[in-house]
Amino acid sequence: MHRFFLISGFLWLCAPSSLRAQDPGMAWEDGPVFKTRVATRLVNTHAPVFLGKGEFDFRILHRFGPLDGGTASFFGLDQARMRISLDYGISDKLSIGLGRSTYLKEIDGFLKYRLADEKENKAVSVVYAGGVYLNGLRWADPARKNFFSSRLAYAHQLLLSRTVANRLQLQLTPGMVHRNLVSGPEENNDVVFVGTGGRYRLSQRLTLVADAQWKVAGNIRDDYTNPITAGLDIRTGGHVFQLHVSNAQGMNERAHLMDTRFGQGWRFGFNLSRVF
Amino acid sequence: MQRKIKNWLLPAITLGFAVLIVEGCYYDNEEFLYGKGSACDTTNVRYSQQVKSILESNCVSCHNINLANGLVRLDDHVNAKIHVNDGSLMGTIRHASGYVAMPPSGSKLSNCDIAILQAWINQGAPNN
Repeated sequence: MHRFFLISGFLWLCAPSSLRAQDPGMAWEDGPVFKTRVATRLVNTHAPVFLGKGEFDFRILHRFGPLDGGTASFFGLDQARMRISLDYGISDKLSIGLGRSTYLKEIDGFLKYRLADEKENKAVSVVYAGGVYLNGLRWADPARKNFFSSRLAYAHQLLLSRTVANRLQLQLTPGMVHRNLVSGPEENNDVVFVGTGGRYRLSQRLTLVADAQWKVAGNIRDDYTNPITAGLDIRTGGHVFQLHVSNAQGMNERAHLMDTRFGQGWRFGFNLSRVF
Repeated sequence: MQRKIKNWLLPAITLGFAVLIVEGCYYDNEEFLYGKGSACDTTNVRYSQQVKSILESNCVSCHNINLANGLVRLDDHVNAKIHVNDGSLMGTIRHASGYVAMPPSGSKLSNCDIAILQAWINQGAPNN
């Protein structure tokens, strides 16, 4: 019996959309196109897109090695970092999620809430996204007195977005990251960023996305560089594939904002999102 | 089903945030908490005694004969020495500009481990 459920569940995941006319994830509404049914993140940054009430979004993310590795490392595909996450829509204005990355063995949780909506005749949509990040690595020096709080970091972002002609969505993302522990006095615990990004719908299935962040206050490390990402969203059966090229390897807000380094090369990556 | 999820979800979120708020925000830095550096013995460093064990703990799970990620092997002296000679071993573990930072999990070898490897390289990276 278990095997039957497993097999039928697997077939359902693989089935083309035409077999699932009632699938709520498939509706292409005439209304604002970037409200739902697109990925809830631009690539790395939260987007003002919410899951429906009671919906889950299972996301699998990969970031590969440097493209300039050539055929020896198959353009970076030999090496991968991963993040797996499960998001849940408590209502169409409130989403939460949990994820886990191989990088720093980091567990992250987020909460996203829509404060103002474009459809209520506001000029922009305003969304708050907050996250907490738990470093899961073993202590670098177990002999010294280590504190649990040193593992934690927090991020707060406001997503200000405007949809133009139902085809282009532009986003401004002021935000900050707080780290409880930094290496020395030359680094700041609080770092402020401003992000820009957007989506441009090419067709019902294809959307261009771009996502960049600029550090505006606070010091991180000497070899820090701003993360920049560009890619293509492909909406297929029940999934959204996001294929992109980025100089960032981090897949949550803290990691991609704080840990993008100069000279680490451009990398291919993809996000896979499945709503059910 | 949704009702059931709601029943445990909200208390779980509240509890989770309460724990995190209690744990709270700190403004710590390692130099202030632990000082600039602690004692590290870099005398009499030997490949068989210290170096091999550092490489095995941090590198060999990916850089071995089976995986050879990045075409790098560090599971024996001959192969390790290739990456000592071209500077890539120290470049990557020091997270130097122009090198892919290693290990890729984001952790960095302790300053003491890096100092031990450097002391061994300063001796000419012998197989001793």
